[in-house]
Amino acid sequence: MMLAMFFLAAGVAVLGALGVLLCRNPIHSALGLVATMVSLAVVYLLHHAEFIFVIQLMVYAGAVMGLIVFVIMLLDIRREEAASSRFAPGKVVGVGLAGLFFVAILVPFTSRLTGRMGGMTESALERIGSVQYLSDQLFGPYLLPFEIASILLLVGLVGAVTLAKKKL
Amino acid sequence: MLDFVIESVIKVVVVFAVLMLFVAYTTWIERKVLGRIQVRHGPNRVGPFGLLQPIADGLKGFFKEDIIPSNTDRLLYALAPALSIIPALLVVAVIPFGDQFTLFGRTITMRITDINVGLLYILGLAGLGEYGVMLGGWASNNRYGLLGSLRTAAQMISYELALGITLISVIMVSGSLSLVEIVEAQAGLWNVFKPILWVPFILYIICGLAEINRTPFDMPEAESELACGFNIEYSSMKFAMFFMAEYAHAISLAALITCLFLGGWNLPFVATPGFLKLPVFLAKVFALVFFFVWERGTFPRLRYDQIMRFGWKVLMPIALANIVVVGLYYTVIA
Amino acid sequence: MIPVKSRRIGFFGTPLPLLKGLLFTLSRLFTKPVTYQYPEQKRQPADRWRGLHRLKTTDAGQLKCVACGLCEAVCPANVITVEAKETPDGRRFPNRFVVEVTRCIFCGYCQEACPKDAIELTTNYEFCGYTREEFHMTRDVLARN
Repeated sequence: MMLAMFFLAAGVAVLGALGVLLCRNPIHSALGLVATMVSLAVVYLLHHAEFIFVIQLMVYAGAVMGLIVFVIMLLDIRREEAASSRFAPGKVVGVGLAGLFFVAILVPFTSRLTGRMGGMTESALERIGSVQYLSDQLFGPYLLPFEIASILLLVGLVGAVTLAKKKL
Repeated sequence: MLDFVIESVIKVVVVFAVLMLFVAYTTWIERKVLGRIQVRHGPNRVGPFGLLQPIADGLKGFFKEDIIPSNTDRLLYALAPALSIIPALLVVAVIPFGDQFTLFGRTITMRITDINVGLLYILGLAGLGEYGVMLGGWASNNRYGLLGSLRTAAQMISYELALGITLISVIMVSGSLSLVEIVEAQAGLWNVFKPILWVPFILYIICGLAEINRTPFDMPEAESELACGFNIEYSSMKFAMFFMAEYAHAISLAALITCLFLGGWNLPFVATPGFLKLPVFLAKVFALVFFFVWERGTFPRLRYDQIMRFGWKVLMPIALANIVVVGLYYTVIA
Repeated sequence: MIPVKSRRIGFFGTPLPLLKGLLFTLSRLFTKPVTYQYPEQKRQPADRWRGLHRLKTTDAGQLKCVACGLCEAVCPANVITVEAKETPDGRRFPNRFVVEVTRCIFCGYCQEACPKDAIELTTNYEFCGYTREEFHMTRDVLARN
């Protein structure tokens, strides 16, 4: 049952990702990304990571993608402009980087899968996924990194506002 | 495992059916109360007091011609109504509308599920809810529609923020993200009556109304300026789905406010007998639905820039200050 | 953007008008609706209501109209057509008298102009039909109205 759900969600995620790459219409691409985000959220839920599931829905599928779709609609780009030549330097570099990334993903597969063999058993995941455990960790041992991350985000926000608005 | 699945399926079907019934009759309440506010009768032809009107409307929706304008994005045009109604229905999954009862030796809880991040789940779904409206306006290849959906997107993103920040104070006081635990924590005293918490209550109602695009904030539709906005090109059942989504949102917002601030199934100050819990919950929900209609009959629509300014420059600071004040009060004083 | 001069009522004064408005609409909720439930409950028009035309008759049942054509002349919408004819004993009567009711503006000038008090606008406001021709009302139809 869980396995079936996993393959369903993973399948939708892969299809969505393919859609992002193959769709000519930017809105369709963005929606493909939304589908990927939502199905990734389902995968998290299947791993008892309820908090991550909800944050994925809220931040990525909801807010971030909402903004992206909003901007695409605002700019009203109907068609992606066709690439000028078949082997543009950008394309070559992109394909090379994608290949490198693929190799990097393959490395853990060759050694050992997490899950059954590692320490992350189902009960441990259930514990880690709970909000209380997560917040105890975030506001306990990892308080400093957490605060640094929030300050980084704040700096990014202030930077964006100053760049966008010349006159405040 | 199997009996759990069967029980869940039965619960989902029952809750879905009842919700759809409520959605239908919320339209009736809306038309009737608005009518009376405007010193008219409201629907009174179909059945006694017009009670069969929602059913007649539904039948009409089914038999109307489904018009798809040319040059639309066919896929998204058809997908948008579904995208707008699904999050509205999914919200109900985590809402506890009663405690529990025993039937044939099984203890049945009056909720579909109780995940430990119920509140965040609802916020997440609220974020997904805007896609239906946005894509509906964009896909129908109409300028009014596009304007409506752009406004919706901007408005929903802005008010979602204030909405989420407002909720933090409730979470701090209740100490849980699970709606069941939040309701149970209000057994003696509802959250509204706790010190300071009336501020987030009012904030939440305002932001919630903006989030579900109801009247003082009904920018995406704005009949008089956008000729119905995002759903201008829709007809037949597709339009009906947008319509149902709107009312399902209103009901789920009412249920959420009931859970978060008005004590869920609890009576004020006294213990609630088991058989009264569901009626008490529903009474509160419909009182809030009545309020939503009432304020629709009262307030005019705000101008678009006023809405955005109000959201960012008034509600956001109050919501942020509210967190600080509630946090200080409940840790230092109480 | 239109600059609107706002009357400052202060931060705490702001919600008060909103609450007043809510109270007002709530009080409206308990008043009796003013709607006429039309087919069952009909509104009584005023006596001087200008509705459908009628050609009056004498007690003997003869049309009062002498086909002088004044109504035809005065009609601002040109909806009246009169054709006169004489009886063998020399009395004038309208051989044809047509009012195109759909184009009539119900000003009542015909009634005013008539020297014989032969045409009037009744208080009947409920007239309908399936064809345009039904509203080209002829002499006999108008006499029956």
